[in-house]
Amino acid sequence: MADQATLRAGMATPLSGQSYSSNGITISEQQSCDKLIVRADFSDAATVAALSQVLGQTPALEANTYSMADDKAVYWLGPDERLVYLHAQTAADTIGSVQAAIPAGKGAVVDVSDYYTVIQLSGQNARDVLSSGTPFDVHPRVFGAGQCAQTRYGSATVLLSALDDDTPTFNVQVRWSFAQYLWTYLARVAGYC
Amino acid sequence: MSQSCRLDSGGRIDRSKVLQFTFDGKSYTGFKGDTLASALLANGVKLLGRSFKYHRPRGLIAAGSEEPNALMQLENGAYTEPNTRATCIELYDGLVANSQNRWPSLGFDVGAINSSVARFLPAGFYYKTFMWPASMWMTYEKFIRKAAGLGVSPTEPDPDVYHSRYATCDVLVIGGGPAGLAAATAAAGSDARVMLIDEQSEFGGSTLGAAAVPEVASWVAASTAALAANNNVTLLPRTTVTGYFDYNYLTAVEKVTDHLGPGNGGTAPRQRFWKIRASRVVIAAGSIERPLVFADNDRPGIMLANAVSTYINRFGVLPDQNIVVFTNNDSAYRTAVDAARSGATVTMVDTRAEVSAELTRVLQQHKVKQFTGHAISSVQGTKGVKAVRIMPLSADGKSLQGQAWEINCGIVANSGGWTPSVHMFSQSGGKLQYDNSIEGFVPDPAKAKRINPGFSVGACNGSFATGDCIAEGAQAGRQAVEACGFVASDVAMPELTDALNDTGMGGIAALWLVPTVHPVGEGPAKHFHDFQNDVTAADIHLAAREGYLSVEHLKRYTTTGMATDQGKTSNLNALAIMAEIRGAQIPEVGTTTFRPPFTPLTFGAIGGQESKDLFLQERHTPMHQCHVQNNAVFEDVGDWKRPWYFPHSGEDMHAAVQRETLSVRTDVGMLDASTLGKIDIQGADAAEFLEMIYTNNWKKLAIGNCRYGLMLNEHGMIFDDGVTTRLGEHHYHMTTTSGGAARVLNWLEEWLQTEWPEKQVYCTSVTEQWAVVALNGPKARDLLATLSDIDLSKEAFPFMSMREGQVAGIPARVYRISFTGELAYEINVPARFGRQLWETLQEAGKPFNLCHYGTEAMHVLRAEKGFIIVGQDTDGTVTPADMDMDWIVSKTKPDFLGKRSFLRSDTARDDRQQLVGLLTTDPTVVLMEGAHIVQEIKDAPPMTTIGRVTSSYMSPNLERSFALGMLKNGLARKGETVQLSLMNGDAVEALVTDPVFIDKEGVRVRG
Repeated sequence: MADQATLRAGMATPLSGQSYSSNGITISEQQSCDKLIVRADFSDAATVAALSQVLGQTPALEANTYSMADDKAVYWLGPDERLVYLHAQTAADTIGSVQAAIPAGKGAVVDVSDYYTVIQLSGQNARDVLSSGTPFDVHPRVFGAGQCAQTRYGSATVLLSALDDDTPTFNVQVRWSFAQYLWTYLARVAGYC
Repeated sequence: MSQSCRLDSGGRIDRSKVLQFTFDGKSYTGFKGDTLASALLANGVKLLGRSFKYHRPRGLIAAGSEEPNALMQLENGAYTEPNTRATCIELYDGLVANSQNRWPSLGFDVGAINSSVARFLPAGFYYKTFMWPASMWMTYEKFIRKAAGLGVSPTEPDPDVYHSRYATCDVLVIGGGPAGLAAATAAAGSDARVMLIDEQSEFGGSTLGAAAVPEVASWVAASTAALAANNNVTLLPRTTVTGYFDYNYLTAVEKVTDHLGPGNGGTAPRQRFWKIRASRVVIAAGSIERPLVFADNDRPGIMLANAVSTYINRFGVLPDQNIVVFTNNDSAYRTAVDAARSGATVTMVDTRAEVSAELTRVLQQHKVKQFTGHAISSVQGTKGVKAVRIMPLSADGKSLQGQAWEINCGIVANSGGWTPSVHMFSQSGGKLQYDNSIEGFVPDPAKAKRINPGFSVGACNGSFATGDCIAEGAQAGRQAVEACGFVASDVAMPELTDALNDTGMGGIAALWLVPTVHPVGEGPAKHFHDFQNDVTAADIHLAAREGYLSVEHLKRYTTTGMATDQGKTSNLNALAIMAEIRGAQIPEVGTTTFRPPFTPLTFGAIGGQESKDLFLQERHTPMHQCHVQNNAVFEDVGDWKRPWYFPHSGEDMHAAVQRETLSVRTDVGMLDASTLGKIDIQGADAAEFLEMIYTNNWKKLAIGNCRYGLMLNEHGMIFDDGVTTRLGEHHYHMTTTSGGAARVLNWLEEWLQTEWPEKQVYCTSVTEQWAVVALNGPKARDLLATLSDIDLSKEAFPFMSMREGQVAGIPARVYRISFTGELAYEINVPARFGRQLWETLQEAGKPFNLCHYGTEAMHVLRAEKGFIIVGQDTDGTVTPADMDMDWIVSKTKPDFLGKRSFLRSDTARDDRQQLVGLLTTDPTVVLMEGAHIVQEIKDAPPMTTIGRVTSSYMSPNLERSFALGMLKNGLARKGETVQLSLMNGDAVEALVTDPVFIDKEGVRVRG
């Protein structure tokens, strides 16, 4: 049996944490973190209160926004769906307490830690790079820090989130299988913007 | 004789930057700021090409993108581009251009014989001669295309790169002339996002080619500078809006580095394709001058009047010392003055008997001789104008009579009036109305499409005077930006005092067809209205005689307006001539539809960066690099790259697949099964939901157990299949086919969201959360036991169950399910450990003769067991009964999706095509998939088809070929012999068998 250290050494991300800069734009695969999909009735005050307790924050209630507190971020994906980034804990350690906050049989908590990776895109022309692949309007007036959007980039399904308006910085969450394709796309168009 | 026609001064060119270029192999020089057209004209080159049909010598007509004649084959080799307009090519050093439509040379062209035999090549000639018999068109076409010429495409791959992008704005302004600049200025200033697009290299529109009016020039410069300094404004010069689609979605092509010459753009893309969503659109696209239709009006040297002015004013080129200006409106008087000021001897021929005294006075002031009420009756010179003959027009304009004059000249600058560029408005769905005062169609604002809110301003709206353009533009810019919720800016008006230069077209008296001494079509001369497609007024008469009266018929019969210029200079003349023939008003004839693109564009630009490796998204599993290292040959499965087979050195595909297939049944093999679709299903109603989605029973499935299920669509046809495992009281793990993952999730969500919203069911895709290795083969248990803490005994871990534990120290879910019929385990680990699991198994498997196998061996193995692949053995018309899978359809459930369709007589009949095995009489023959099983073999088709082969392989385990197929009434025909007709004409005989060829009792899989 492999010990935990060997296990950790063998862990992979689809882009091996690489980073690339061109034309003042930096793209880099972010350190991986565990992630949970939470399906629940977010119109139910008791459920929201219980989840807030577990997540250390009122989970984003406004459409296409995310909330952040301490070591977790919660992304609004749909009226009854949120995505939780666990920056300090593992999904295995957290999943039980989140499940307990939702009435039995009336929701779901699913570990999707490895489903996605996050590529961060930063630089003055970052919006031009985004606009090269997504029809979604990323102007700060309509997509400012604190907002997120599920859209497409090229042919990949992505979750975009805006981090900083002054030095335009975005996280692009993409499925593992599309990560290399998206990376190539971003790096290519960064040279054109 | 370098640049013999260049004026000593003037123009927006940089005379300090001399540029070398070649045309038809001959070297010339020009200046930075020139177009290829202006540089050629500066060098006295007027013969630029041959026409499409008659191969008549042709020269420049225009100075802008409407140019129909001067089409060039630009550059050589991989960079070559056909049919480029010389007027739109900015000159760069080293440019290489060649004329088109000529063979063997421009001066002597064999195809010109077409002109002599024109009587036998009337309009509709191609249409009538070659469209019947239809079967011969393919033969004629090659010859016609070659003779017709036009340019040639490069055979090499495109060495350039392209960029496409999206943009969103509040106000998009099309056209950077006075109207567009005013609109953009009014719209900019507050936070509104404004885009201003113009096809020329600099902003200013028509003013760039007009005689310098300092007040206007400084207004243009100041407006442009202010817009450029505004961060909310995107200025796109060298950019053409190519299409206007619904909901203010527009496309544009920006020529980013074309003007630098091939290979000189550095890392920048050659062109950029813009896909723009605008809240409001201001169309300030200007207008296009149209030619007068007179005898032999296509001779090189006969140009549009404003083009002559543009060459003089913008490029400092006086194309000839003797110039005749021929017009039916006031605007060409500017050209007469421009030419006279530059030192030319100018004669004005005006078809109108009455002209304002002020215009006559201006001509006298510049010593221009004026003929009013006259027209050009003939043109001398073939490869270039040498002289024109003019005669007085009759009062009705239908004939010429009286004293003829011959005037020597090298250029005829002619104007038949101005046609507003309504392309964009028309593309947006707006309807046009005819404005008699300007003799042209203009947008009908009451008939604009509501989904495309915008405004047409300036010349494209029929307002030609500079002051009107600016006022209209400013007003529209204000309205547009206010409609978006922003505050408009004031627009300063320039002082406009130059009556001649600022009043636009002025008066016009239409003369659509200039008569000659012969009736139309009977003399030796031709009256062209469409230069690029070589269509004449006589062709319109012929079309009318043959009954092609409607504008749509006229267009298709004569091909008028169908060339790459889409009739920019010709359409209105054609309509008007048809109207005269019919005795109708022009609006009654109507217009054809204006379609995108506005000007030709490269496919490269449309594709943008999405070519080569970005053309189609490739999806990789977590073990992809392992497969690359293991020399895998990949197969595209959906978007996935899956290992097809793993050839050892010296092995071909057949050898590798046979080895892999054999190895799985004798030892053990491993397959990357990560691509299988996986859906996590939770909620109190999950079991009830599965009962509806699948045909079989799910309520009694124990926790930790797996079950195979078939999904049907509403028609009762097989739609997907897979194994679903119960993980908990209200928790299931569903698998789908690799290609069906997204489709199945959509299907589940559609039913949940639209039909059963009250159900407590939550579906989450987990396809890529898990890396999956399928271990298959008699040694699978022994191998897995060396790496796992799970009790693998068949009592503790029976077939069709799932156990959690560790494999290679990695937390794993192991499913004991099999797609080969062998003892098998599908090991699921979080994706981050996929590669580690693969490499560990690879190492641990060596003592067990573990082999990697790919999708092809997987296909053979499953077919040996008669396991179907949805989409290969089924095609959307196959029921479970057709697959002999009645056992999986519950007879006790009250309902499931597709159940009702089993009551349809066609679904219920028992002689449908059904799944069978097929063994060819000759065991070495591998049937082609898709081969037809026929009732009886005949010498030639048609033969009555009674079935088809769906899967066919050579099996090392059976030591012979075998196949699966669908056969009419097949279940009852096992043991019979059938005939197959192959595509190569061969007939093959095969025995109908059970589709399970190996281990019918299922001993191995339960072992």
